[in-house]
Amino acid sequence: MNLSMVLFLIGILGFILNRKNIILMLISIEIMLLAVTLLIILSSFSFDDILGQTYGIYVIAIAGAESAIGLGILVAYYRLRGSIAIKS
Amino acid sequence: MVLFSVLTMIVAIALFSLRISAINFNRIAIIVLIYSGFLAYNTIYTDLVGSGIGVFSGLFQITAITQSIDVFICLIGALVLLLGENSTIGTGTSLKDGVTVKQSSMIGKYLPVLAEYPLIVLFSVLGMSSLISSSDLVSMFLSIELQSFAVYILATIYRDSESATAAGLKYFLLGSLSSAFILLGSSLIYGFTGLTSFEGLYMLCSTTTSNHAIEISVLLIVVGLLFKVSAAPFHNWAPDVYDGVPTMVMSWLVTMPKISLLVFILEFQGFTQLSNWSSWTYLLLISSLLSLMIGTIGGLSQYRIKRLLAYSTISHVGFLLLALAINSEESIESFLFYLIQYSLTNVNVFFILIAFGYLLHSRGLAPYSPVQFINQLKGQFQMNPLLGISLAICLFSMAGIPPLVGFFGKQMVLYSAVHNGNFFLALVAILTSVVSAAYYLRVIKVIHFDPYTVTDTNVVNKETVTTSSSLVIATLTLLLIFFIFNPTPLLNSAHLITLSLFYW
Repeated sequence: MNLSMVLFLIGILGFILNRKNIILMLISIEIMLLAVTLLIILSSFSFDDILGQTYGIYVIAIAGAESAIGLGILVAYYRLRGSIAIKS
Repeated sequence: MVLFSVLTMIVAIALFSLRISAINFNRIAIIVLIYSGFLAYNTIYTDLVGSGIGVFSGLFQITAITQSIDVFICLIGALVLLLGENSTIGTGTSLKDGVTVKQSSMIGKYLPVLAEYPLIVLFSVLGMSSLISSSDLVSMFLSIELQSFAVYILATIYRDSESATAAGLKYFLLGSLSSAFILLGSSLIYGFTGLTSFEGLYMLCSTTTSNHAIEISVLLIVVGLLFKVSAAPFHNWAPDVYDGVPTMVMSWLVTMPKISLLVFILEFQGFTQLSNWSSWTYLLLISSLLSLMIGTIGGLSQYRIKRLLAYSTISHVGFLLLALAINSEESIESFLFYLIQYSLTNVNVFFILIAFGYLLHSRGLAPYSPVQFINQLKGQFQMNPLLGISLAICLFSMAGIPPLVGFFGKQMVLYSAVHNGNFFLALVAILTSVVSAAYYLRVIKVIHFDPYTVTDTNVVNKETVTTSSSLVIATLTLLLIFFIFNPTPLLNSAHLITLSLFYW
């Protein structure tokens, strides 16, 4: 639980403190979602409960879809702008 | 029904998009929405539904309130789709190929109709209607994600527009941050209690006296939800995103996700807010206070009309959250009534804006969102008196001028706030609604009293608003005016829904 909390915090800090590019923000979102997945799966393992593991699989699938959409939007943005840098 | 039509449309768009024009897809989607609204209306048997029927092994729960809001969502969705159609049709020319046709006639460029637009809209409606009836953390998260993914795609669906993609990217990043918060909250609840169903959570909450772990995780979920409805401390994305996307997409973004998310907050509050826990109420009250203030003060300095509408949305969300935070019978009634009248007024405003843009686009404006600045509407009263008057009536209703329907919404919210003893917030709400009347009045003044400056006289503007669009504008505007003569159907239905929530 502590590990996944630390991972989530890393994700948030990476999202907020990052001033360089958008790929890093996408990766931070992925880190957050996967930290939560880790939390869910660990607690479902300690409860010996099947529901949490299905939830974990759902979350992984959702995270995949989310990053796919994010990258799609990013590509459309890059085509128009020519760069993905966040200007100040 | 929505699900089946989504599947059919995926296949149909993949296979037949060259033969069936995009407008036909749009119309099919409108019919689908109306029909599914009718089906949802058919299942409101209050005696039978009663305290709620769990479907899909308790993942979803059907109650009277979910069905009624479902009907409402379907109808408003059909209206907004109709709006999208009206904003895209060219004059008389047929858009056969859908996606790629761009018209560069002498009149100007039109927005191309996309065959995917109604499909994504139907996905979003599917997510909304399953969100309001979800009664499990897993189904809650999945429906929120379904709805918000559809909305992200919708924001960037016109990928040739730079502002739309930038706004969509911003919306995506912040929206997925908020869904990560929602997910963290739900996983913490699961980790602390081992429960995912709201029923079990309710039983646990009502037996334990005070449990900080559950309280914090519930608050995390609520913060994520408030982020998505753009309530005040988390509102920073809203004006940028709403300003960037095309007007027809903005009308979807502003009205629809807010309805489902706010109704979901209402139900979630019923499951997890108990009398000895006050953090829910404090969070909602603080958020409502800040949204009221920021929504009005931020709107004062705007000269772009869509940013102004975004700020006015924030202040209306403040009113809705105030009604939610009080959580008495009359406040929930006023919440439902305010939600209904606000979404109708908002849809009407967008219809009128699109119609104005349609009439104005001969001047070579940006094709994606024709009316961008308030100054573009200068003196339009001389050109189109009826449209000007309708827009004035809508804005008066949003500002809460007495004979219109918006006044009654605000009055009910304020009455329940005062009745509950929240004098300070009621006072703030009154003051901010007076201040917000200032910027509505500024728009009205620009339309009606500023001189109309004809810049290019050679373009003879012979276009008229389409029939369906003018019909909708007329109906909604008359609804706003004549509500006072027959207020009972709307008020009584809001009352009955509230009663079904409190006494089952």
